[in-house]
Amino acid sequence: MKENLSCESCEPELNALIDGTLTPAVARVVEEHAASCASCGRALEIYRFQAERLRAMPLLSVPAGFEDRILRQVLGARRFLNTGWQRIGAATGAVSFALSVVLLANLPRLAKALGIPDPYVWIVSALDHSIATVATGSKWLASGITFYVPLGRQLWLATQALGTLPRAAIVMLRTPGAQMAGVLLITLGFALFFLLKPSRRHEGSVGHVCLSL
Amino acid sequence: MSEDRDLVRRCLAREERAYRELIRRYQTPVVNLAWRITGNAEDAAEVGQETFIRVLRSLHTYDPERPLKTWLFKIAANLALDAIRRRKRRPVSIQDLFPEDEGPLLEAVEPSPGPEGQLLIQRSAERFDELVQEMPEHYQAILFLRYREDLAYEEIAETLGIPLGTVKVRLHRAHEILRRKLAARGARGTTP
Repeated sequence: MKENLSCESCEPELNALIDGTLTPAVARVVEEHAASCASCGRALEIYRFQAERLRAMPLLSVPAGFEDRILRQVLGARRFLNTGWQRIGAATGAVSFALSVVLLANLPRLAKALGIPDPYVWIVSALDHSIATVATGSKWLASGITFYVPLGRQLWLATQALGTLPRAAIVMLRTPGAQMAGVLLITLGFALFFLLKPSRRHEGSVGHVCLSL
Repeated sequence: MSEDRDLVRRCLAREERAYRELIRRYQTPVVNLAWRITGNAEDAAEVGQETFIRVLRSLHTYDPERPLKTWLFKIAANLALDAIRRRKRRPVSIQDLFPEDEGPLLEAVEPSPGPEGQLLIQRSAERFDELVQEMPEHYQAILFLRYREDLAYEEIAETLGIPLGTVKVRLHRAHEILRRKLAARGARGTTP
């Protein structure tokens, strides 16, 4: 490059000078020109300032679950169940579900073999006892403590109304289909709860996989 | 480079840990390149995801003699350009860079800034970043690859599929746009 460099020729080389892509000889000529020319010297300072700022330009954060979404696509859902806890969780859910079904199907027979009452009676009697306890308590409040009379009376009336529930439940629960459906729903609910629980912290977890299957 | 080669070898053996390592190592630069090209965070995430899916599925076609990063960036850049074409987004014009009613871009800062000076520096940096983000996407992509990812001009040319001369011209123009903008806004103090 010629020694008496013009500003027009020098300016395009300033970035290359900062980036270190000029040959030593050309870099020397450009540097000398920038040192002797106020305009090019100022431009060089500004480009250096820009380069410094650009090296620290802000970065966009990678969205949550990014890695897992990719792996699910690439490896498939089955292989995505990779961590120990995810596998244990999924296996436990599946086993408990299968056991529940087997148990439910044989529950009346099992109860008979063990010499205990029909299982639906336990549920209904537990419900009945709970309601009776609340009703007794509210009755005690209503009659015993003057201050709580209005509140207790309301409670007592409400629980009296609830007292009709066991009869309705007995009628409904007597059918084996209803029993089966009820317990199945509860089991499924629990299984889904435990499967989906980790997904709240970590998108793309086993819960999401189950839903995507 | 040798680390990447080993990583690729493990990925080809379908080691899940290697897949995860590869994604973790390059997810931020890939998503950010896509962000600089598309100008949209949502598109960038999608492009980043698609990039890694393609890369992991076609690793057997990768030439280990070439840098993995450049290969990843090339795929990401192509997908980002496809995303732009699909969405038919309006490209940002040069004129958009020079709105008339903006305040000063850079504020005067004391040589040894106290808390207030620090705040001004931070504000100035934010304004500078805003200015970069207002630039047309093809300039942003080049600036990102050159300064944030420290890619050589040749690697940038290969990544973006443009001639080496175009890379140099665009880099110079990008700096020139920034300089004009700084000058127009009366930058003082923070510039050296």
